[in-house]
Amino acid sequence: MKTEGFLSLILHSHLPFVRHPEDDSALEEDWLYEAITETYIPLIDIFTKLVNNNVHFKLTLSLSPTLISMLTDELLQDRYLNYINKLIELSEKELKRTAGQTDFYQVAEMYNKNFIKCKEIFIQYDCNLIKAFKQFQDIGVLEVITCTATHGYLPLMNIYPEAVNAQLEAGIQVYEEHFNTKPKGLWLPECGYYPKLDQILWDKEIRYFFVDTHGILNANPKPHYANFAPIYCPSGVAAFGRDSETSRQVWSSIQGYPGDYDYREFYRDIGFDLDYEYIKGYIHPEGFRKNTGIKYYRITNKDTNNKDVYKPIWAKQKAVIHAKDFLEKRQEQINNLSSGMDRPPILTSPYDTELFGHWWYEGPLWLEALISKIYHDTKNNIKLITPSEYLDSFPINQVATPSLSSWGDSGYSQVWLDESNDWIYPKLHKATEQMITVAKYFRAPNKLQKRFLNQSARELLLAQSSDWAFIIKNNTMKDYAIRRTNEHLENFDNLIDQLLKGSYNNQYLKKLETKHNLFPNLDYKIYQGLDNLNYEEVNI
Amino acid sequence: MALLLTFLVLAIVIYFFSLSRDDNIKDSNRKKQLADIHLKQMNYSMESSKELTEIENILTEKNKLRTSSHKSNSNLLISNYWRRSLAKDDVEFARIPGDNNRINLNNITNYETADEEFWELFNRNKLILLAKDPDWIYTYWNVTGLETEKTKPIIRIYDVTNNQDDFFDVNISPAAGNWYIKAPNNNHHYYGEIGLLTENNIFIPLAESNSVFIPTKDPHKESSGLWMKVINGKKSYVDYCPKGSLDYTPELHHESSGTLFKD
Repeated sequence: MKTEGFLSLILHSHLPFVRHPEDDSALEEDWLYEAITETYIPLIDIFTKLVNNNVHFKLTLSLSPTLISMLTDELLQDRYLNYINKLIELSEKELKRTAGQTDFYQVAEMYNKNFIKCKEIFIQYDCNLIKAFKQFQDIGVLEVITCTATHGYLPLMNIYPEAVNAQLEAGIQVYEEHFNTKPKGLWLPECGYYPKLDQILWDKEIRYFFVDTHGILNANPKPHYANFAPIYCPSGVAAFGRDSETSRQVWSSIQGYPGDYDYREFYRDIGFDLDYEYIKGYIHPEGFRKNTGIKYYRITNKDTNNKDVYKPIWAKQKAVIHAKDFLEKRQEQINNLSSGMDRPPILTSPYDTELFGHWWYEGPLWLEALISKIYHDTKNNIKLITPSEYLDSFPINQVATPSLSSWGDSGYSQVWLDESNDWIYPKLHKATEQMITVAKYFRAPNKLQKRFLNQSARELLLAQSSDWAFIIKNNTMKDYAIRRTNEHLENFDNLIDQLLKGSYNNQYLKKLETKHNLFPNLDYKIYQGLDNLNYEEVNI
Repeated sequence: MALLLTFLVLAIVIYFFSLSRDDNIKDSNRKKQLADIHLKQMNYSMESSKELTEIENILTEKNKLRTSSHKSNSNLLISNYWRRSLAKDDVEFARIPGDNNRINLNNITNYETADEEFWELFNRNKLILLAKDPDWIYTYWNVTGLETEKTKPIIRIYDVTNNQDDFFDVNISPAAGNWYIKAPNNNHHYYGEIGLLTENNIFIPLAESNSVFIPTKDPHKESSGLWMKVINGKKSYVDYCPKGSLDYTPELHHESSGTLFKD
């Protein structure tokens, strides 16, 4: 008999709000469409298969409020239908083009089949994938949680408790509107935690959150079971710490599975590789090339650009081998840990959902194989569990305060605060102070003032997305991130200015409400905060 | 006679034995009672919403004196410099009041004309500290009056971890508007004031900052015996003795979405 242990897989799904009604071909909207095609729908597909095969499993899925908003937005749903139709059309052209080249044709066939299935699943859920996730939550295989409203990074917001409260409150509200229940846990954006944040979570009936490994290992006082059992913060909220072995095996494209030579190469796309005349209808209308999602090569050898053709069968076999390897390593890990513990260890393994399928094309296949193996396997004794189930079974845990930390590069706030992006904080803070002030000031606004206040809150929340600082730091789509930060802050300034001067420009307001239409039920009063969140007066 | 003597010795031995056993029982009972009372007190103060948020306060006697230390205030309203000067009765003390106070909304009676008053609030002097990592503090300011001829613009950083008197000065160039300051220690609380240092070494603060916590980068040495039970949103401290412990020091890599861009 092998030692018992638990594996808690957490998939965190997030994209910033990238809805551009003014532009039919905004490149950034492709982030959403690619994620739907390569990640969200393939996951829905494997969950369906597993359920149909009577495989019992338990996963935790975090959906960010901005992502929920986009997946339920009619304009984006319509545009996705166009997108997938276009892809199906391109894959049909590809079938003709590659006819006679067996290797390539097989891959083209795979894409064609996948895209058609993708459209079927999308339509099956009335173009609203949240319905699919809700259904899996209702039948008990998924525990869906959420994060802060726009993925605002909280350790750099903590000098404004009202702003932290607003990010949390607005996020939880969106979740409740779509899932008709309160979230049991909360994903802290970038696993960014600071001591005492847990008290606000407790007040909102959140039972758990996640931190990176060192957030638990450096907790005060030192946890008995390292990061292999949760700790309770003094407030009573549980903190689960990321397991570093499982994260390396899946995250790292060098040491981890995704870098295997049988897997699909991400960086060779026909949008860049094929003749311009042939591909021009499927790239950006202004003529610049972009990823189409059709990629024919496998990783082969990382040092060369000469790649071999992708073999779907080999890739699938490799995913199964890697799933088996993963499970065996977990059993080994659990055997080693158990001697020092009086309860079964829990391995907490959080990943970005988009890693599976988008970055690591075979990720969903691997996940399917892993889940299925865990269920059928008799050699190992590992069970999938969600954090809330674990806490139900083991309600007594050590009390300690996690250390301030994040899962970003180097482990603290370095990614979101350095020479490249530090200029956004004075601006964000100024707007935040103004928002809190006007929220507390307008206690009984009229209808129009209320709309101004609510839209101001939306613009501020959008400016606070951690994505902008992240993108600026990584220097990828830097101009876009800078533009978005400035755009929201400018809108905010204008709205507040009109509000205070009493010179309301209705059209301007209407335009912003239509463009940045997320969180329709947002109430600016969340910025009034809770009285007990305010600073203590210091007496001398 | 010998029998009587043996009897006597035996009686004495039995008497003492029973006495000491009684003591043992009494002692362990008392310990248990004390522990019970302790847990009950803790649970009581939790229920009466006197939340015990600082674990070290519960765990060590000496810290009981520190309940309202600086770090429990996310925003300091009183300048540390002022506080210390008052304590020392320093006559040379000079200070222009800082500005990060809460805004008193009662002053604004008519919001039709409140516009200017609102903006004024945000144009006041301010100094903000943010923790970047265990080594660096990022600071930015918006302060008028920093550029004078005979004084030197500085930021004075106070270590307010243990109500110590430690501080150090950082020379700044006012036009920069922001600065990265090396934190001398991690797992410490700092607080800053920006202002002018006169030739006679008198510090004139122009704005005070929020307090900032510089995160630890090492595990804590002490483990505690404090355990909690949470069921259906109800929490209580419990007497729990863990069997075993792990000594785990992995090599950390911090893989996340950033890793994908680096590889």
